[in-house]
Amino acid sequence: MNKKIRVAIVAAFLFSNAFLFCGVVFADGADPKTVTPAWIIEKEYEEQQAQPNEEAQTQPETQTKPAQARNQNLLFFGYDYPILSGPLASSLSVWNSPFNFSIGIEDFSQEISSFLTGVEVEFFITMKGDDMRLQMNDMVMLGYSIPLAKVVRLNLGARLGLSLLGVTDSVSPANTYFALGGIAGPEAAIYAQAAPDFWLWVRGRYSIAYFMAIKSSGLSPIDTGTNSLNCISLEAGLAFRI
Amino acid sequence: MKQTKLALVIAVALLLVGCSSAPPPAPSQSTPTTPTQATSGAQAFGASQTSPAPQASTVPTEAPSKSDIWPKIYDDETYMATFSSNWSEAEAVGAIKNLQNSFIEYSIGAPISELDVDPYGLRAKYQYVENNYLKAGSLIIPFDQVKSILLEHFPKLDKEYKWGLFVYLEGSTSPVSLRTPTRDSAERLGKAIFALAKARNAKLLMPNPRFGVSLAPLSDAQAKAAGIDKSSGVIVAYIFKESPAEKAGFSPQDIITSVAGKPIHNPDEVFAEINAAAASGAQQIKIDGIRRSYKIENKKYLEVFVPITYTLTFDQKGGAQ
Repeated sequence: MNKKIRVAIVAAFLFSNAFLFCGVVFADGADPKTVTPAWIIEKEYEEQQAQPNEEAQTQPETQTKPAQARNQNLLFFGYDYPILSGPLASSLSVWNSPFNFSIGIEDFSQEISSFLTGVEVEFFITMKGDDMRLQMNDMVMLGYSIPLAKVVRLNLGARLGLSLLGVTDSVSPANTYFALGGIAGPEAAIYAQAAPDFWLWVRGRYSIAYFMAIKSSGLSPIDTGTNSLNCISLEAGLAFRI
Repeated sequence: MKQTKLALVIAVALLLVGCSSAPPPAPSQSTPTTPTQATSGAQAFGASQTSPAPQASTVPTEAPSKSDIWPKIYDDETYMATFSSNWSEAEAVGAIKNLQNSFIEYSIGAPISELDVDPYGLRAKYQYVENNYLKAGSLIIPFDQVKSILLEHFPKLDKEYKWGLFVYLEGSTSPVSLRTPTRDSAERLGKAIFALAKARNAKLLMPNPRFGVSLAPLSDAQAKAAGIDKSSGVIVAYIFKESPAEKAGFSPQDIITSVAGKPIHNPDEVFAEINAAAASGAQQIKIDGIRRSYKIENKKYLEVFVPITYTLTFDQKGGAQ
């Protein structure tokens, strides 16, 4: 992969994330449709209280059913330390990869136990001369969020997504390939609220990815059947309410 | 060439990731503040709006800390109507006469028994029975003293004639009130009174059709509760139905803090900025404000003030200025 191509990839990466961060930094106030005015809540509470007791007794479900909890959206980013293992690891871990990080959004309750959803993009990028190794995991998260303390939450779940793996190796041209794969794995994260809109987090994930070659010499490890990669991702970073 | 294609695929993937990860809608909560109990209250004819049910983690055991410092919310609805027309005085007088059987006095609900209308005023008499006695009342609208005309709807009124007009006169705080069976008859009556008031050079103050809200200065208690300076905003007393403000999501009791990025200190500045933006050809304008809401914590309602950004879209179709 020549220098221009590398520059194009890095530029696209920077642009995509600049877009994301600009959206956060220059965000407007909330959409008025998402915030119920106090007077409506007061009115509905009064109407609820005014309902006859008999009706309340005959319709216990509608009277006591808790409403959906308010959720919060957090933008998180942090450093990602991958520990590779599995068949493909030996051909990938020959380079150190200092440029690893993750970025994503998670949505879960700010008050109670709740299901959580989110997306995360994980980047492992190494450049060495004309050589390069890039892995990008684009994953959705489904899980459950549990409050451990007033300001600490434990998020448990699983991620599922796609993984792109590109390797350019000028020393061993046969080892140059571009592959697309599926990735899945369990995850646990702890969020600690440091300020009303600011969180610290740590995250651990074990993932397994299976790849198929999109472009290769035919002699790449993937072509020879070495097509799976296991990874323990240890991450830590910051999160902001958005 | 193949490497270029490869780079293109990766670049597109990265861009898609960046774009798909753009922030979702802004949060519905902000830093809680302590509700303040106070006594003064803004008076307004409020618009009753529908909204999603309050969300709660559990059913609260305590009532919201309702305070009377905020503009009162009324059940009746004031609609955005400028009543502009090109009716002549004769047409306007004729329209009112034709509507004699289509409007009643507001509070008694009695039909008009005698109607005398000319280009200078409307004089009506009505009769009603109270405690077996026949009583009579009258109302007068001198067109040169008309200050404002509002189109009203009374959805909660347990009577016929759910539409009507509030006609405010110079030197009087309570309006002359009429009810009609339909919106059309109320609008025609309003158009006729407006045309005759204009012909008499009355000092009319009609709603700004580019916005459609009634604003008031912030009181000390309101400013303190919202955690801002008294001169840092104005409060929305009520919203006209079918107005640009309603379409933009404004609600009574919202606080407006800036218009098009310019800080607001009094109601006149809001309308001046909106008119200036519209005059410059802008189709939309961003308005920042604060909305009072509640979140639920530990089964209690906690009053919160949430920063809001509205996008006001101008409807340039006609209307009095």
